[in-house]
Amino acid sequence: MTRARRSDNALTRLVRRPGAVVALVFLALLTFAVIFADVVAPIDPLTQDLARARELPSAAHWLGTDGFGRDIYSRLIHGGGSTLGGALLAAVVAMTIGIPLGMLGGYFRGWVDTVVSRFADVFQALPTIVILMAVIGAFGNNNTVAMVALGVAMCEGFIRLARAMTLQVRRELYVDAASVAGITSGSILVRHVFPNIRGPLLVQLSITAGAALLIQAGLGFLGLGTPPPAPSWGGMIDEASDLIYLHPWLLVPTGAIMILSILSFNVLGDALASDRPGGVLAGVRLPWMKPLPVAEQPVAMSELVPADPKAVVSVRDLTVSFTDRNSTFAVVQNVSFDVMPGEALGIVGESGCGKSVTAKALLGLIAPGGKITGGQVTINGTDVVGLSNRELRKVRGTTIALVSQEPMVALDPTFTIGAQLRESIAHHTGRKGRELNDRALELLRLVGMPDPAQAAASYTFQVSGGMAQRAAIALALTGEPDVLVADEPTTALDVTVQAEILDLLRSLRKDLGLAVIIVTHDLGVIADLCDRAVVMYAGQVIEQGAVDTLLTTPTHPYTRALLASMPSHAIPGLPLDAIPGAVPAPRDWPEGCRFAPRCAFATDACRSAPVPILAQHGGLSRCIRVDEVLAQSRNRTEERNIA
Amino acid sequence: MTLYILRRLGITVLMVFIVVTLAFFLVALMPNDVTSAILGPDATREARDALREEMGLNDPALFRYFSFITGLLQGDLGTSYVSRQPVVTQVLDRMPVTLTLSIGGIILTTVLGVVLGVVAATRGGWVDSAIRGSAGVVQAIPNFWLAVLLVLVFAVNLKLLPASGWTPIAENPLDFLRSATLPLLAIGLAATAAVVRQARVAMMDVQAKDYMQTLRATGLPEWRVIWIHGLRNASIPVLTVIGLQFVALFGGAVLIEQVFALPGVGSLVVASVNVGDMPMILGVVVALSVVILLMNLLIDILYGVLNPKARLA
Repeated sequence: MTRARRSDNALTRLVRRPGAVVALVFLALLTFAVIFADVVAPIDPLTQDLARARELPSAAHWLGTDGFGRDIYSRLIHGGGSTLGGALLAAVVAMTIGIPLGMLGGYFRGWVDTVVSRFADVFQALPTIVILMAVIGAFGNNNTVAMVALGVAMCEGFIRLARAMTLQVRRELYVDAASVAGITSGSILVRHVFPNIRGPLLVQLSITAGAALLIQAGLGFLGLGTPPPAPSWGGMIDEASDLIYLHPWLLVPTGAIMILSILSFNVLGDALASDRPGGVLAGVRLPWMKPLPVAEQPVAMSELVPADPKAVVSVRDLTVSFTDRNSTFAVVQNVSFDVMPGEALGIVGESGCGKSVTAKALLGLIAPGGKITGGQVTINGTDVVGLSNRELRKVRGTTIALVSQEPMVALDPTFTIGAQLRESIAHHTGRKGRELNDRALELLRLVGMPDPAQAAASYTFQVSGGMAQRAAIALALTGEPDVLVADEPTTALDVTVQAEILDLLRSLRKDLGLAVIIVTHDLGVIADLCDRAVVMYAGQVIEQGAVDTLLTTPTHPYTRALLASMPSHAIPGLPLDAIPGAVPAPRDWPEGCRFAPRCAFATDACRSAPVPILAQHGGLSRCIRVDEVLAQSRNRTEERNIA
Repeated sequence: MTLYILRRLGITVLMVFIVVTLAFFLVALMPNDVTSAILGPDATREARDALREEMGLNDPALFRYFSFITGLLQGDLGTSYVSRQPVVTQVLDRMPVTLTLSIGGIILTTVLGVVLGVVAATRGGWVDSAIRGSAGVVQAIPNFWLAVLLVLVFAVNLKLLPASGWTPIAENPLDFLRSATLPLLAIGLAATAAVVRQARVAMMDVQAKDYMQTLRATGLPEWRVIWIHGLRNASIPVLTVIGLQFVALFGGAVLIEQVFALPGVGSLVVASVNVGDMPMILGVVVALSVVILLMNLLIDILYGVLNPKARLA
């Protein structure tokens, strides 16, 4: 069976957008009418009839008559030749000049590129219409000359486009390969750049045509370009402006045809631009639209363990759902756990298991398109689910704070580290002036910055990843929180720096009595730092318990598989046990146990119905074959001891 | 920062020089016979030749170029063919009106465009659709047509504002405002739409950044997160568009001055093109390019202020 060819034809994709279709049809009809103007508008556009001047639309004159009794409809259609034709001429000239220049600049780089870029800059430094007036002053009033000049003045967009595309193609390996094969640079450019540039080129062409139309009409409005009495759209608007007291109607058809044409070019350009893969935004949903279907995601209801009243964070049955243009689906389902004051809890699992979403949901931070659709998150006795942002803000920073994954982008790059600390400290504590600065430096010292004053004066892009992470932790501490949520705080860092950051978290726990919730895919981090761990898979908690027992005698095959895949657990001489397959996407969660398709222990019973989470061997486990898992673990331990 | 500004200043001076040079040769090498513009089509051959000699038009182009540049450095842009007055005085006389339109227009555009763009990006939903849709339509409206429409509605029908004319601010501030309102609206709306679109996209990009989440997680009020941190980061790409729109506003001024019969540089250049007064056209081109490149310099400096990465790199 042959796979359907990927439809990358811009025109076929356009057809799926109603706005773009209307624009395309309008422009096509207009072009047709302008080309066959004598047939479509048989009344002579220059014939005056002063007895019938300034008439409103009638059967004889569809759009009325102007100040000299000339037919407006006929003048618009006949005037389209110089206006629309001129705009297209300008756009084509701009493309013909801009593409080769941009390709030259991008291919040869160096001084060629500099000259080309400066050439483009010159035209950006002056209003196009003034350049055209100088050209008309120098060469006389001629629409064709003016439009060619306009094309030259507008080639900048094409230069930039072709240059960027060429640079990109050049960087790609196949051009190097082609160079090696001895193909001349010219044919490399033509053969490899053009296919890549086609889409953006149409966008630029469409937008340039719209802009050129505007300028051509502007010239006509000034009495240049197309000299009167020959009709042009701009010239007709000028006539309308002269007759504004006597015949304001004239403004309507002239404006309408201009606006519709420019709008069509822009809509076409936008549609082409946003139709490139990945460029489509989620559709807007209005209140009266039908509710989206909810994806089938079967779940076994488990008995709720009542929240521990001493817990600083208590999560019960937390469900977070996202809505895209097709449906609503949960990414985190019925998650429950407690965090005691000063405790370190790990949330562990592969990417896509919902651990980050769970952690951020504790602060009420959900990515656009998502929301908490069930359960409670009790922080210091207050359920924060359903609180407004204003109320959530009282909890954020002061009770529960966040440290995120990528330290280099976690702080605002346009403010110094010190400025961001001071802003947050002032907000939380009301400190001012010197006190504020002192506290910022104190926090930087607390997180182990070797030179707090210099760190405060730096921007994040000026410090190392480890230092940036320390700064982010300092920022999280500005409101003196009880709980710190650390979302993969060491993943983006070097191994040695990872250990330092974990040490820092440990000492903060000890010195400040901070509870830490650490999200990680690394069981080593859990072993290093945490008292208890929650293992998540496909949006659910599948095992929960004290780290000591969890790491030595896992009750769930997924935890077991995670452990086995750790390099430090590898048995010398045996291959590392990678978990086969991948975490299913939320919409593809299986009916029964979600891990079953990847599980060595799975039976038909596992696959037939959702599995509840139950108390097992001191912890909680979402597995119906716990005994078999434990038995094999014992065997494996014996094997290991023998080895 | 000083080094950054000096470097930008150097580029600006170079650009002025290139633009002036190109404009000069465009004008100097023109095929049009200037003498007929001055003496009329019926002048004798001898009279024409004498005039050409007197104006130095028989000198080699390079020689004329150097004397033009020397004059320019001394603030001399030559003499108008038509009025026989120095070009500089007339351009400077006309500059305040055009500067009011373009600078007033860019302020209006920036404030309105950024606010609407940020609101569209942060509110989303129907607010976003409405703002985005209107920006798309407004961008397609020719400013000169809009100007005529505004005259029709506010001057002819409602009789609220004058249909034409200009009152300098020093003469009567209230009348100045009345005379400037419609031109500013006409000139600024399309540019505003362009800024709205850019500001919206920039703010949406910024909204997705990690630091916005970090700031929200520290419990900062939403207005500070969006209007201080978000806006500062979003304004970096928007500044470029504002620079381009400033150039476009000067182009708009040429047309808008015509509609409202304003005594600005735009109407001066239109009048000069119609009579073939080349020194005047060249003078306007030079003056405009200086103003625009100075504005670009200001934008570059602002860019450095807002974006420490550009300044420190």
